[in-house]
Amino acid sequence: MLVRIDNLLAKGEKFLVVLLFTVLIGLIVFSIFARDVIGMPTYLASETSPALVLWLSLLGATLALKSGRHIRIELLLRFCPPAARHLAGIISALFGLLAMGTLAVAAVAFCTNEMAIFGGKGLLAVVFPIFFSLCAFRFLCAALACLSRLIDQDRGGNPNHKAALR
Amino acid sequence: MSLFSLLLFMVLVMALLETPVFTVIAGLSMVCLYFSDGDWLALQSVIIEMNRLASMPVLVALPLFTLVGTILTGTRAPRRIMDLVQALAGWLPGGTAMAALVSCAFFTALTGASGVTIVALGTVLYPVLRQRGHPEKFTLGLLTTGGSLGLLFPPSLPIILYGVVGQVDINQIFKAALIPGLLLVLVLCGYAFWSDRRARRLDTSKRVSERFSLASVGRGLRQSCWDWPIVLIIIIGVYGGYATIAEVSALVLAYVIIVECLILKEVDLLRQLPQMMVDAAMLSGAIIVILGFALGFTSYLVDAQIPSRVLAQLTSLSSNKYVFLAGLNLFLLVTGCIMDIFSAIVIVVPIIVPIAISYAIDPIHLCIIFLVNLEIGYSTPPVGINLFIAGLRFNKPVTLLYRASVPYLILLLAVLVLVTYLPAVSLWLIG
Repeated sequence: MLVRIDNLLAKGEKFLVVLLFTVLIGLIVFSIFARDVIGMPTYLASETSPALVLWLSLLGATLALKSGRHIRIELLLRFCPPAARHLAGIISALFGLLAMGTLAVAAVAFCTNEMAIFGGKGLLAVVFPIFFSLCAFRFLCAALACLSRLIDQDRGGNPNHKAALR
Repeated sequence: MSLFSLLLFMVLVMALLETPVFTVIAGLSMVCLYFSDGDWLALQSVIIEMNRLASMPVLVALPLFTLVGTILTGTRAPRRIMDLVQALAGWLPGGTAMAALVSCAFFTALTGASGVTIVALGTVLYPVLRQRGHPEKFTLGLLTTGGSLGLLFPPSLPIILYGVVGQVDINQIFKAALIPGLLLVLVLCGYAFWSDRRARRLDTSKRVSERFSLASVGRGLRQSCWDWPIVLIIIIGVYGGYATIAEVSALVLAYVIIVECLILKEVDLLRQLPQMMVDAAMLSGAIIVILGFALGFTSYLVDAQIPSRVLAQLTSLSSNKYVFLAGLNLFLLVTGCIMDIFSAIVIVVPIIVPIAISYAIDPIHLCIIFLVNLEIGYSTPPVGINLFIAGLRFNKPVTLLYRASVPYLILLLAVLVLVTYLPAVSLWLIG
């Protein structure tokens, strides 16, 4: 069930990423064209593109979390047995869940403040609660996946269980 | 041990458990900011600092250049560039190895992540170099260290990120990095030339000599006629100062999409390009999100006057600039060994910049020292990441790669000493 929700969310994120990339490229190329070819400089790209990049990056980061492509300091675990790696994965994911969950709550308050101060423009800050909630959800999925692998390995590695399977 | 220290220690342990770096920095920022204010509202400061990303126009170049690199990785562009350089330099002793080094530098400049170069070009270059009679150890060392060779050339992503974090003019860094970058490539090319000539003298039977042929140069030029304009746009844009770095990145990207999707048709516009956009967003998102959280952590470091405290400790040890530079090199080599270049930039740069300035080190010179160190750190035993990536890619024991990289590392370290103690090497082009 969680995996299906995760995949569904990822589809939406991917669609948004492609859309944002396309708009970003189009906007900057158009502004260069308007300035250097038509002679009508526009500040639309310089004003909008950093916000687009923020959305793009945060959505990309949540997708990277799903694919396990975030930057990590890979020093110790490569020398550890699989069980230790799974256990470390559970602890690490629970830590991520706690940190991102807490920040998601703070982000809702931040977003409310932004909308109260800047009105419609403050809506851009919606990306923060979305990002932190998605990260928390993905950390939960990762913790459960590691737990399931640990249990599977324990069952497979346990001689009594192997005998029972036979 | 206070609760604050205990929590910090636990967060750092999480880094050893391979928690994503962005989560570790988020944890550090949360702990530091909460304990400095003693208020849950302080957690909003993490988000306020992250929101500053939306006011950094330079950052726009990062995802766009990442997409350029991602698209080119999926095409035959690296092979075409290799063929051209091979046609130009293949007749020289070590010519193929030189062509491989130049291709690695070109490709790493575009992709920024050295691991990608080893994975993408390794498959192409390893068999070619072995067929040309280069020994296995020589080839492995070359590809492992060559995998991070282009980090000083435009449009290097680490340089863009350094400019954002260190608040240094990115175009100036690109100009300053040109001579050190060329030096690194030339020194390794010189080694390839020397070792191949020596090997030819000892044993000519295994060596494949190639004659210079205008026809093959012409063929190489024709085949890569759509690839070289990429370099041209970048050089004119970055060094000519006609456009901002974000505009250059958008122009290069638009050019690459038109060429690869519509003219050469190596990338399917509707089927492959969207997936490449997602891949590029994941890579750039992973970098930018670290930067976002590090902004909160940096603001804590500044408020708590950590750099000035470290400086006081350092000056009590030695006030000599050259001793400081030696210590800095050692520290950065270890950092480059254990840490990814992007994380290292966002975490270490805010701390060392004020310290280095107080030792009268030019910020741009510092940037070049920093990047050369991290470039070398990638391949430094025992835990340089290039060694493990190459070990996996070529299916060789990592101890063999340690031995294979040693001659290259000695040469790169010699260049590092030159760059560190002769600031003119970096600063000459920017006056």
